[in-house]
Amino acid sequence: MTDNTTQQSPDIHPTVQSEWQAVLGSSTDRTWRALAVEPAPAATLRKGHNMPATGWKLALAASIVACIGLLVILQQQRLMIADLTLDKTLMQLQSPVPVIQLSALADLRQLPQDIPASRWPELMDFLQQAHDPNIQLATLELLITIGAVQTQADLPDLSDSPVAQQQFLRASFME
Amino acid sequence: MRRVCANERRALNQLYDALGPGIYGYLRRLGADQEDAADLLQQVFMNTWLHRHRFLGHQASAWVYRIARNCWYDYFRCHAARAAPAIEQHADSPEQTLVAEQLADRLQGALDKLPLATREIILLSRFSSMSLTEIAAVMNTTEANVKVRLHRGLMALKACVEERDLD
Repeated sequence: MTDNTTQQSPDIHPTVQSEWQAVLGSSTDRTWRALAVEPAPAATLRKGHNMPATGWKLALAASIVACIGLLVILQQQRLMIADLTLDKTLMQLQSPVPVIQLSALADLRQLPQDIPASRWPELMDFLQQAHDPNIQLATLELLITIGAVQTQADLPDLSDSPVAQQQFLRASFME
Repeated sequence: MRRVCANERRALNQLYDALGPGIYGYLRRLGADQEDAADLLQQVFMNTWLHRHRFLGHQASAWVYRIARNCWYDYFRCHAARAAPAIEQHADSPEQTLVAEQLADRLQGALDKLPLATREIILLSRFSSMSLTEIAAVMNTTEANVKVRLHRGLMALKACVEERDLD
């Protein structure tokens, strides 16, 4: 059962041949030929798969540069969003409603990034101007947490606050 | 195949020359059209090269045919609704060509009616030059099961040829 026109499977395994012969008998050759198909294409790689080595290297380098560029853009976006969030939260401190101020102070404590030293004076001013002892205490805690107040000398002038409150804040700091 | 495993690209060409035509025929008769069968054939040898380290060192044809089978199943999932493409027959005269084409069409029709596993076994026996044991390895079944299915499949083809002779 050879097939010279299509050169497909010139060798048939004896175990298979005997099965074909046993079932198909004299029709074996005819059936075998009728199942033939056109010759297979030659072994060539398609375009795209056949890119030279330098091509792959260039493509790889371009991909790496693109990835780095994308990461830089993403990082810039992240920093911009963080700045906007900080601005918005510090603005909320200017609200006349103590609950909103306390909420903003809680948010500031939970910010994922550090509050930059350039924004500390805003918090110091807020501490000075606040009259609610709870808000003053929360602000002081925040200032200590972020490192803006490390010694008693760093505390802003609290002369506008009632004396009892000043003493309370100083005592809180000592603790 | 051992040379392919040793990263010899030239050996892959030799493997293609030895197994490519059979795998192409197997894919064509399973239902891939000419262009898709050529693409699948490339995919088979691409995968053979990429996964050469997984070859365990025996029954190389069975291993490559298993890759072909997996490629076919991936293709089949996407093109299940397609009708089997017509395959041209080449004979000496137009009359012979017509007769051969009629028989080929009938056989393809009979093949298409067989359960897929039986059809695969018939085609592997026709195109792969593998023994029944190797075909069983490709199909992940026993030699006895291959023998039974091959017998049933060939009986169906025989009935088809005889029916045509009566016509």
